[in-house]
Amino acid sequence: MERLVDARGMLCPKPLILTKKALMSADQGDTLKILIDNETSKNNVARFLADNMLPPIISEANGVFTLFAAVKKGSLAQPDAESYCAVSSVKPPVVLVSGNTIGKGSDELGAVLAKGFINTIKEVSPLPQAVILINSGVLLACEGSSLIEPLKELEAKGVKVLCCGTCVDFFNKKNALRTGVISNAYDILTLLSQAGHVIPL
Amino acid sequence: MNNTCIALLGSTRATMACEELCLAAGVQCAIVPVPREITAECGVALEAARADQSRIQSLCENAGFAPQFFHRYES
Repeated sequence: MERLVDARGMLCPKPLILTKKALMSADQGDTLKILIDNETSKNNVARFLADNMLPPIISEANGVFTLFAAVKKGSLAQPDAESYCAVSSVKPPVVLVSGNTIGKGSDELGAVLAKGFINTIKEVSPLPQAVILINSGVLLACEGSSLIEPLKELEAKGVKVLCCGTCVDFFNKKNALRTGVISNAYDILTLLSQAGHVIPL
Repeated sequence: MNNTCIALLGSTRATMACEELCLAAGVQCAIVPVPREITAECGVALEAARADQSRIQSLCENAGFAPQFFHRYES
């Protein structure tokens, strides 16, 4: 018997949930026919089926993917279908700059490294969602810094540049800030805790 | 910066010194890692607009440095 899962127009995790539901109610020897009209969901459902020893046959016509899988009865090896939803797992990183020099040893060299690294962030893929400047890192966004333009360029690409307000105040640089926005510990910690991962510089 | 030139100075200290010379002369430049296409080794270089290449060259040479230039094209 052919069991149809029509997941057209649906985004993850819906197609995964419907596929799992159909698998649970199917009988040995049934065929699952799944219709999906977006690539991400197709890939996620295909991975879910393959990891459960049901590698699908996939065809595509007019933007609709059709996945066929022969049902084998038994418990699923990977029953957590929703975890295959790639959308929730891809979170861009956050770069944490905790000083106006990078590394320990020589501040002279550290200043050169800060320039080299921050000038290069724009070439990284995926771009970070934010660059957070704390302690003397805020000086990099202040008048006299050669990194104002590269930081502005990042902002233009959608990267948030957050400057620790306490730090800007400590260095008395509020009027000298030329890029980025003044932020606070709550926003900074929220960003850090929700980041895919944190790149400390 | 589009269509830039990369100046290799041979050492970190030479790069720092040349950056200072260029900025003092009003030539905009940035310290960047040496592009992977040039060498796999870790190092820094100066990146500037290609229009400034000859000025950078003379500033560096007058100070006793011998920069090597590469061009970077961005699509």
